[in-house]
Amino acid sequence: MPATTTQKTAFERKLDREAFRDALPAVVALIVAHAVISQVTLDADKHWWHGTIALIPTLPLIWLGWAQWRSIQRADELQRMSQLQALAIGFAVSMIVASAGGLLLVASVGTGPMYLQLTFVTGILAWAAALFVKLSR
Amino acid sequence: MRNRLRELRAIERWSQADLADRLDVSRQTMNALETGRYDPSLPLAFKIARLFQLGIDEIFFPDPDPDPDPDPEPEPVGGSEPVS
Repeated sequence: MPATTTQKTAFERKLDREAFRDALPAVVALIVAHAVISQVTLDADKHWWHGTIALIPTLPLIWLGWAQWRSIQRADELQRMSQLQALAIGFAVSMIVASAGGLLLVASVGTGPMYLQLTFVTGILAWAAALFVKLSR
Repeated sequence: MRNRLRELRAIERWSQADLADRLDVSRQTMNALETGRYDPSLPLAFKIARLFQLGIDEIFFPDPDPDPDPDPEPEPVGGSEPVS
């Protein structure tokens, strides 16, 4: 029986290269946008367009989402299923945390911004953990 | 579903990575296919069959029934009689 190698195949290396090529500019744009926005003082009560400026970092986020979508489309069928399952798990965890946060707010426990951040972070972490478990099998 | 992928790969003296590259799938997917943890889609099954120049049913076959019916229904009378 030929030896089973753990090295990446040419197909996997191509996927990695393309995912990196798509995602890297979006990540750099996201970091730059956040750095710039955090340095300026915005007050939408005085100038309505400050709210628009505050939303600028969502553009590279959308770009990052597009890169992820392309990566899922290029993956082989099992990888694609694993990635979509991981996304579904991340989404479910986010929804559960958001619901729990909303219920706790009714009881005056914690603050809205705290639960917003918690929802985002737990969703991303659950997605990443599920992806790691599924793709390392 | 069971398959002969490991056996066919050994005949060709290919590694899992070699076969994965020929099928445009990852090595993890190749491993999952070989160990029966994942059943391929029809397009991938056809691709595999073409690569080995075999029919799909010569590579993939269903698991044996784990609990065959001990008391099967009798065939209807005359149902399987040869027509003379």
